[in-house]
Amino acid sequence: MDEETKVLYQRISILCGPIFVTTFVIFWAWMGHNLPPPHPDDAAQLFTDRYVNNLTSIRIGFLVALVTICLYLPWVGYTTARMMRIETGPYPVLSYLQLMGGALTVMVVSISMWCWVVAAQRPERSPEITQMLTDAGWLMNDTVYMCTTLQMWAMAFCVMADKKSKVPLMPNWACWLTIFCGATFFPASLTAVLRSGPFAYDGLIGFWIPYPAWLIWEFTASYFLLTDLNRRVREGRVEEVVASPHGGLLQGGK
Amino acid sequence: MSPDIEAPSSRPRSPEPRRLPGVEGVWAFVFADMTMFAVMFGSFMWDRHRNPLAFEESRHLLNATFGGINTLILLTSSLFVVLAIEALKAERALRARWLFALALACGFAFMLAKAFEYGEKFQAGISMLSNDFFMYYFILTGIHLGHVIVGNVVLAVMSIKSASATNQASSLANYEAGATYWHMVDLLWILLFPILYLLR
Repeated sequence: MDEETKVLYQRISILCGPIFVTTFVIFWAWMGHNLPPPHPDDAAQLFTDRYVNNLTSIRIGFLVALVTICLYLPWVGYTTARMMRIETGPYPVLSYLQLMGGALTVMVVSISMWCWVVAAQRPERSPEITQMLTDAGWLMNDTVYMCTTLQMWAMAFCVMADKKSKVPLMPNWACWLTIFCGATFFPASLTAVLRSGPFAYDGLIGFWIPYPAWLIWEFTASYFLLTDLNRRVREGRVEEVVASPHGGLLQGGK
Repeated sequence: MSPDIEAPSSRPRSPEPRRLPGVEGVWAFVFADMTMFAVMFGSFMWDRHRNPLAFEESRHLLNATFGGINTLILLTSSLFVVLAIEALKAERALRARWLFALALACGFAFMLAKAFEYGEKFQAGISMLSNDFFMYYFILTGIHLGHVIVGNVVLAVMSIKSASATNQASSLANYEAGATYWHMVDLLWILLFPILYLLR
């Protein structure tokens, strides 16, 4: 593969990040009627009504979002390769952690939407079951977040420890905000216990802070990844981007 | 503040440019984290405003003595951290190590007092699900306790590392970043304590 093509794929991989965020907002949040989320303390019949009254929109929303969530994967792939240029050598543990965390994030969010797709497939079923599927989807996202938190923390710690780059991949404040955004997920565990108020899955701390924090982080990190790629291309350091796991061994210390 | 004032004063007293202690990012973190707490405090005040009687009744069930002791513990630990940073600046690494260790001991004491306090509540049959006041009480103090646990790890690392610390600006900045975080944990408690325990 020639250098130009490599750079093209790298650029596409980074752009998948903001495209994922945009499609997530449109299809998951807006068409999927998750803005605002259903109220967990509502009667079961209201959950069924929500699906019946917006059936086409919810079906299209989640089915498309289930496809576009995978745009997260190329982004994670590029980020891993870029981190390996910082974490050179045969033990790129933070890069691997970011890779696993990112890949699992796609599965967690997918399984969550899959619950809602199942609920929307047969909305005439018993309202209690629809309610359960809705709850299960939300609790999948809201309690199985740690892989995403670790993904974010691994990236932040790696970039902060970079002593080689003249211009760091992300500025220090962005690394700390990454750590903060990952930490905002922790109170979401309370959604498993509390069904009303700010800590429920439709609440301020259960929804309105952690979900935007994740998307804002993804957007911000993409911006800095793209700036960094452009800088490397401009400075003619394209060859540095070889993304083989052995690249660090062969070209370490650049 | 530090007894070994001769060390800093022996340096040339040229006016140093003002600089942010620690690394810039820790301040971004502090701002974001305190905003998050401000949102939770606001949420608490909103719900309290809607149900003042229940909140006031429940408040009387809290043990302000525990809260007060924990305030003193955290203020003392912050003082130790200030002295430890001063010691590092004066290149007295061993002294810094012990001061960080004392701050860490305060952190453990805070956790112990919190465990007793929670235990007292559980024995009285009070939990997070008892009412809205206790939901906020357990969650706000719980999230703060999480910050204390992280802070204890930070203090332990600083204590261990400071024995071999150099007075390089980059090294000092890392210690200042850790200290900044710990002062934030202290400050959050100073806000939490009156809002939960004292506000009538």
